[in-house]
Amino acid sequence: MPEEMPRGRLAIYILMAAAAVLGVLAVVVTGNMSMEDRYANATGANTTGEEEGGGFLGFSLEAELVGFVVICAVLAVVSVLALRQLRRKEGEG
Amino acid sequence: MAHIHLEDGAFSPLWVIIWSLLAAGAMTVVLYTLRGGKMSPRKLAIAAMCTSVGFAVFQVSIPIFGGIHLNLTPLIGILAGPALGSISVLAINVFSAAVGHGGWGMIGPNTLVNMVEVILGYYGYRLIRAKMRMDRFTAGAAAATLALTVSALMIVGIVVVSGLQDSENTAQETLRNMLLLAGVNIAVGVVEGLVTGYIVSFIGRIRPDLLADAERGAAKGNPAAEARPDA
Repeated sequence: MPEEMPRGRLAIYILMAAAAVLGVLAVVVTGNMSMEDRYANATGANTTGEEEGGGFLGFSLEAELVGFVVICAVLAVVSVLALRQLRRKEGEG
Repeated sequence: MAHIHLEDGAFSPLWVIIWSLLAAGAMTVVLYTLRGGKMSPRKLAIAAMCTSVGFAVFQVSIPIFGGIHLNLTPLIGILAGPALGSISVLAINVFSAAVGHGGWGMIGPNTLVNMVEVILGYYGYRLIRAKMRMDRFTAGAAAATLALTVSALMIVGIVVVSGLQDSENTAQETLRNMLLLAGVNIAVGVVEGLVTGYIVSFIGRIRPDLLADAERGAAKGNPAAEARPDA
């Protein structure tokens, strides 16, 4: 016999499903467009749009490519240094 | 993540200054809570990695509903905690402005919005996991969805209160349109909530120690968590 789902968990999933349905209705009303276009339409603001890199399978980069790569590299180095620091501290401990 | 996708010049200088001062004030409170306390290298390493992943993910437009992006701010809150998580989202917003994703003047309001996501993500997860005794997936998904729903509504408030310099809409039109936009953001929040739930439950299986801070007290008096700490 399948395990019964606790009522609290069921309530959470129902609320999440309701939020999703509400959101899909909002998408249907406003139409399919990028977030930037949604903001421009909603606020009536004139926008030149953000710089967008090349796409792959519908995925695209909403940032200037060189800057993105440089910042990712810097963040990766900082993360590695933080990890090495952690390993050294754990080794001492 | 909820993010105000407006360019520099959309808000008047006065409102840019007001939101920036509020964000600076909130950040001062965060730094005050961290003062003197020994920050563990583990937490710092987690915060650094959350910032890296959060920044990278946030720049990618995902082809759902015409183009959305996630940045996993509630997950950052759950993993890094509310204080380091807040510093992490400030860094993500500054770096994002540097690569042309969001205006420099929007760093203040966006940091406030993201701090709410981080703080609600952390405390929401703790509450649902420890007090309501839910499994990790449900706690992560519910906390993230709640945090992103509140932040979506907060964005409506910020935009409507600030008004837009170059808008042709009346305040009522902007409010109505922004509420529809909040609906879309909430749907995206549910998607991000599910992603967060899966990531949290995966981390809980392979490295439960990374969730130790957010799960303090979860196993105590919780028969399910005591019997199956990986649940």
